[in-house]
Amino acid sequence: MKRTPIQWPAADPNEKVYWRSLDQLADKPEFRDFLQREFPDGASELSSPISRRSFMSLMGASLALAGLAGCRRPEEKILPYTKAPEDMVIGLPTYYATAMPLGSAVFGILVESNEGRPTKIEGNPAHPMSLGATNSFVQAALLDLYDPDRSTGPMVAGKDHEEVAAVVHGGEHGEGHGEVHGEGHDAPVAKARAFDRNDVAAALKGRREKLAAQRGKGLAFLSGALTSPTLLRLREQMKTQLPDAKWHTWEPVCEDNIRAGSRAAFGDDLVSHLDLAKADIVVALDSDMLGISADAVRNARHFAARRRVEKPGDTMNRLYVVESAWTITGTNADHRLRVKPSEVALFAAALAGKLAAAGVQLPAEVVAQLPKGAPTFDNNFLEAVAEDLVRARARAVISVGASQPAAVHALVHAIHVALGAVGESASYTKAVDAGRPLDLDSLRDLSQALDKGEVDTLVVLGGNPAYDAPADLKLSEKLAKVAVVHLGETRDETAKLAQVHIPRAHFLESWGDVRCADGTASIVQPLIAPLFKGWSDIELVSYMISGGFTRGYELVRETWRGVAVAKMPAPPPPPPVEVVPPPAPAGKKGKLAKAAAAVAPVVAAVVAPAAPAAGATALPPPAPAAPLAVAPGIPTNQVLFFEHFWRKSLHDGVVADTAFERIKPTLRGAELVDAIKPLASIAPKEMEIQFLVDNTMLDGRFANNGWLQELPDPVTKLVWDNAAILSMDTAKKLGVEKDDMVTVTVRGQSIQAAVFVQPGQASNTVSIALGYGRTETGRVGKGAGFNVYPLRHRDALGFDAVTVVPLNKKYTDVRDEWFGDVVKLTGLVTTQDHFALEGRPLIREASLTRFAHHPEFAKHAVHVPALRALWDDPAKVGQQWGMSIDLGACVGCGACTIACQAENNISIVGKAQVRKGREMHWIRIDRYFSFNKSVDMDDSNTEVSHQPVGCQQCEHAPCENVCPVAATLHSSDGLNDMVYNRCVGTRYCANNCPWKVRRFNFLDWRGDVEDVAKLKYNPDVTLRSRGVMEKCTYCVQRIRGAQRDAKLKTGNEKVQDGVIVVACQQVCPSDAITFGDIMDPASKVSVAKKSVRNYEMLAELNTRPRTSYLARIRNPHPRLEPKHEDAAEGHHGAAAAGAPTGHAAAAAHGAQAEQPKGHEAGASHP
Amino acid sequence: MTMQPMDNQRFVFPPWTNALPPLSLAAVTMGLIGTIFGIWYYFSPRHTDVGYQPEQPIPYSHKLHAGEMGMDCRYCHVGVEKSAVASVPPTQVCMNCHAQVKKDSPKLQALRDSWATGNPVPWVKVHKSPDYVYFNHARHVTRGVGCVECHGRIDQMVTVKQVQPLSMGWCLECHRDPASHLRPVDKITTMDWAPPSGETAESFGQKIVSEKQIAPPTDCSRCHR
Repeated sequence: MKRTPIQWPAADPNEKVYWRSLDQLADKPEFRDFLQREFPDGASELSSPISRRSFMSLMGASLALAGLAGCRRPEEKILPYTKAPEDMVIGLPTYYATAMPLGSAVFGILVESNEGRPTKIEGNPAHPMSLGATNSFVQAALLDLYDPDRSTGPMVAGKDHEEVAAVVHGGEHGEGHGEVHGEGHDAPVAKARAFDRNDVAAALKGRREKLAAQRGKGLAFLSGALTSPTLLRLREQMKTQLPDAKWHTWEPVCEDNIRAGSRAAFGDDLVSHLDLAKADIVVALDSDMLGISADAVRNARHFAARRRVEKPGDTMNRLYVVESAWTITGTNADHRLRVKPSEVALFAAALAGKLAAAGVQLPAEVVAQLPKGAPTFDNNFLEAVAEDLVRARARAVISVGASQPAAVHALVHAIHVALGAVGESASYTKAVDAGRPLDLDSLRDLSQALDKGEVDTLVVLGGNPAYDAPADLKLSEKLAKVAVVHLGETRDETAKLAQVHIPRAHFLESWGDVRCADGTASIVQPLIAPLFKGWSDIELVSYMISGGFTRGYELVRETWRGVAVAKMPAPPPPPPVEVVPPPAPAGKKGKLAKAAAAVAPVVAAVVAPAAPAAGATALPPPAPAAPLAVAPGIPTNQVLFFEHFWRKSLHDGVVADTAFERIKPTLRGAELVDAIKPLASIAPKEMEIQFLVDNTMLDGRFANNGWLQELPDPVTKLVWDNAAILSMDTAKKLGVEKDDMVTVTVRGQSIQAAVFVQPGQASNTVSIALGYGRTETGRVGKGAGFNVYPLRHRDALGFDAVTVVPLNKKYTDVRDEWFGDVVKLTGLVTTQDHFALEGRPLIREASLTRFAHHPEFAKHAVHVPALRALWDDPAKVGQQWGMSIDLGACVGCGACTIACQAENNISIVGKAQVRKGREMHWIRIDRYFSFNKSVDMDDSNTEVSHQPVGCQQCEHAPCENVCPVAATLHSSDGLNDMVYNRCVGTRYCANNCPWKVRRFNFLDWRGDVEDVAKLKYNPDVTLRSRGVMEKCTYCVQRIRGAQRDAKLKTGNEKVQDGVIVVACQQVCPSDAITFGDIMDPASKVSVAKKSVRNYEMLAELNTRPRTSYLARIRNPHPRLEPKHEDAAEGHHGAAAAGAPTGHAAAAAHGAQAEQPKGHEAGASHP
Repeated sequence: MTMQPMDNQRFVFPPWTNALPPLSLAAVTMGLIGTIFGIWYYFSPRHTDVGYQPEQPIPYSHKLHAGEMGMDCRYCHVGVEKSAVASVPPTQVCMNCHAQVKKDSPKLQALRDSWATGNPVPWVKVHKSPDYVYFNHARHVTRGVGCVECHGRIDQMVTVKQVQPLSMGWCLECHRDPASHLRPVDKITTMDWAPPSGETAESFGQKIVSEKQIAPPTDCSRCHR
């Protein structure tokens, strides 16, 4: 019987071509290799350092050992507590609310603890910056806690231990523990004794006393962004107790431009919070507001919520992005304009001009300052943006990146005010630590003080200025000349220069507090005692100020005691408290608050809701800033009330009523005009360098984090390296291609870096990510990438003029595979071609107009004939699990990959192994580029689509049929089970999987894991050994856990919808993943699967995947759509042609155009 | 010197040796089969694991505590109804009594040391399942599987010993036919519980099965994940 051929839709002139890499587009052999071989040549060979021969001998030895050792039953121990902690049931996890500070960002989190080990971080739904989700940094922070390369003890004068001649054990240092060297028993024994807290105290004591005697003269602190009320309180305390001490702040990815822009526009440090749930039109100017900015998690949730169209007529937002290198935000743009970094400011100015011309009431003096002359970039784009902004008015918002100059920020504030977006799409609040000196000024002051010899002792709180300070300050040379007291989690570049290095407690190990950008405060509570006896920032600062060690717990409680008392409800009978306009910090809280403020004026100033800025009018507060209602059960005694407040704040993870008031600021006049003047003098350079904040390393602080190193960059898919990213045309002009080394020179400083050619990158712009090329880091980060900080100068932290010269050599590094002296496999490693599938309509997307005409486009991308399965359908009894992934919501950030890795004990494999396609990620994000078939591909017309792919949990799973040992088979609730202990490693299943989602343990990745790193494992998931296949299980441990809980509670295993939240779903900032019971028609996943946008990948294979996708809808501006014939719409009826938006015929047919050979283009389309 | 012709008869095998090749083949085959079945049978947990009775650091007698004094299992094994593990009690639980009772007994020296130093008592694990098996006590105990079903007459053991193989086949025997292993939930710790007169374990268990809708799963991912 002849099989009915699968019918592909008719060739469509408007179709898009989807591809992953330039190699694929050119059909190079490297790509064919990945496509056809599953693993590239050599991937299944045993390679160095274990050669086949040595492997055989090892195997022989281990067999012999097994033969002897296997006969005896190994004795296992059960070690119970001596005194069990209260409320702990062994085997049941507990959850704690805390918060993670990350530079100036704060994420409220819930942390799972198993027998005292924090094992998984989730977002706290009550926290405004998390909304229950997190990002990859927060997920990976857990790995940093258990990093075996963390600083394990103090160092004094560059040494971490001392050779002590001592006869008695331990000497005067009770905590000392060292190994005994030497044989003699009677003679004094030379012991190597590790330094401990007493040594630190001894090293600091004399120094501190001297400094304290001179009122702190010569003492300087250097901290990161200050978000901690306790640290702010201690800083104020320092000003009174050590008035001559100085406090400096420095964040390599600093907010200076944001603050300077706000000061110019409003005369105060205000923050504009994007409210993307309200915005119809969003413009991102060099801003990664959906990717790695501080509020990205919240933004992604709100942004995605406005992109879920379900029926024709639904509306959605539109995103314009102007940027140089691709960011996550750029990949989600409806329209993206690639410009040099300096041209972003020109774009903003031109946009302001257009808006003013269109009648938007910008101040005339501001408009007069805008640069004249025609812009050099696409006028169509500019006009479309202006037109949309004018139409949307208050429902429009513009986000500006931190690297853009203050003038752009000030101008955008003016635009927001003029559009009426303030309080609508953009709401303003005061900033945390408002009024502090800008980081650059602060660091410059420090540098000058160092030059003048005014600093005797510099206390560095967690930062790494020796690595990340601007190059022209030459800070590392200057630091070497003074006594640096370094508090750091790792022994980094700064630690090596330090006189005293103290291990810093991780945020999961220490007490603290933080305020996020909108002011909401959280108490940071530890889940584990410091693993390496670390100190927290507040403990060290307090020690330096007071001379005695106070526990962080006491310090934090002291801060909040004053706040709590101020919040105390008035004693009954409650006298009516007058709200005095304008509200002053203490004024609206009555007598008690005043008394408290008198006791702790500093505290009140630090943590009370900010008074509106001068000249600003207060919006009517959304809810009256009332003290806690007098409810039964709330103590009226101050001490008891504080305990109540403290416990509630710890439990909730947020301190109630601490968010700043939303205000409606008024624009300044002359200062704003002055601030905007520099725009007129911006002249783009011939070639520019952009210092990218890295999607995985951030500013370099995560360099030793294996999960983040191995997480493919969302766009380049590079792992374990950064690169000099060039556009196709610039690379061609320079005569370089991927892996070629180039010399990059800025102001006479040069570095060498490898080239990565990235379509869609701005021409004549080289973008290099910060955070790589660390010299003093652990085993993971060593040798990764190129350090670009030496090129970064004070006045050009974001971008600069550059020259790029090819070096005529290829990139090799120590982590490449060497064969004797010859490097065998070398270069940058990108996963973009890994697990590629033959060209099929995998990604399906359409424009809003096309969707309106043909809502079922996704289903019709492939015409599947009536298929009959070879096997009987499994009975669908009870709950059946399924998943839906909304490609319209997915922003492609990669947080799911890390969350899955953390939840499922997935190993990292290293650069050399990733090159062979051996990465173990259970969920990958396929990133496709596309361009319209009717035009020639160049840098300007590429678009990006993301598609997360994990195991599809097919009902007729092809993997199950080929397993010779029944190691993978179906469960009665529709899961494709993988039984590790049965697997013998034939890899037939992986070979037979059309989605290439199975991962094989080629080597024993969990083998040499150090004890401290073992603490991170999830006890509910088996560790896999060498020779075993693994894959996404739909987090079966969570399913079984929920079923167990339901059964124990109700006697019935049926789990309510929404109780099971799988790891990738839980972390997803944009809520793109839905999971649940597909038999329940009311469940969220069933509803999602009923959507018209629903489709299954490779449905034509009739494997009936349980994971389905919702097609992405783009919302292009009608004018900016590529010109083409209306042929595609033609066969959908005349409605399209006559409609007002008919000229906006969709580009995407939704089908991947590259069709299999032998396809007969005769099938008709409905 | 000349060579004498040899007597050829000396080099001819006697006729009975003709049977040797097939016999030895059969013997080898039988031997192999015997070895295989021998290993199959005797290397199974039924023989290797049952009877495992290691010495414990403290000669704690379940016979005395649970049997003669009649302490309930859950006084010490507190997690059994809530958690995957029944949990071995912390030193503190022992000290609840032994701070008063037998407080000078030399047998309890290790216990007092643990209490004084904070170091745990290193109990030796008797009932082991591999790391890839996720057995849950709470799920079984709260459905009416008594302690005695898997652990045997603990109340008669001076030193705890393994009495069941705890192999997958053994688990599945019960999962496929649970009725005869069930009892009322309030009787799970009763070691000598017997079904009411006139009923067999099978018929009594059948009522519990239908009452509690007991359908033990046999999917791989129920225990392996």
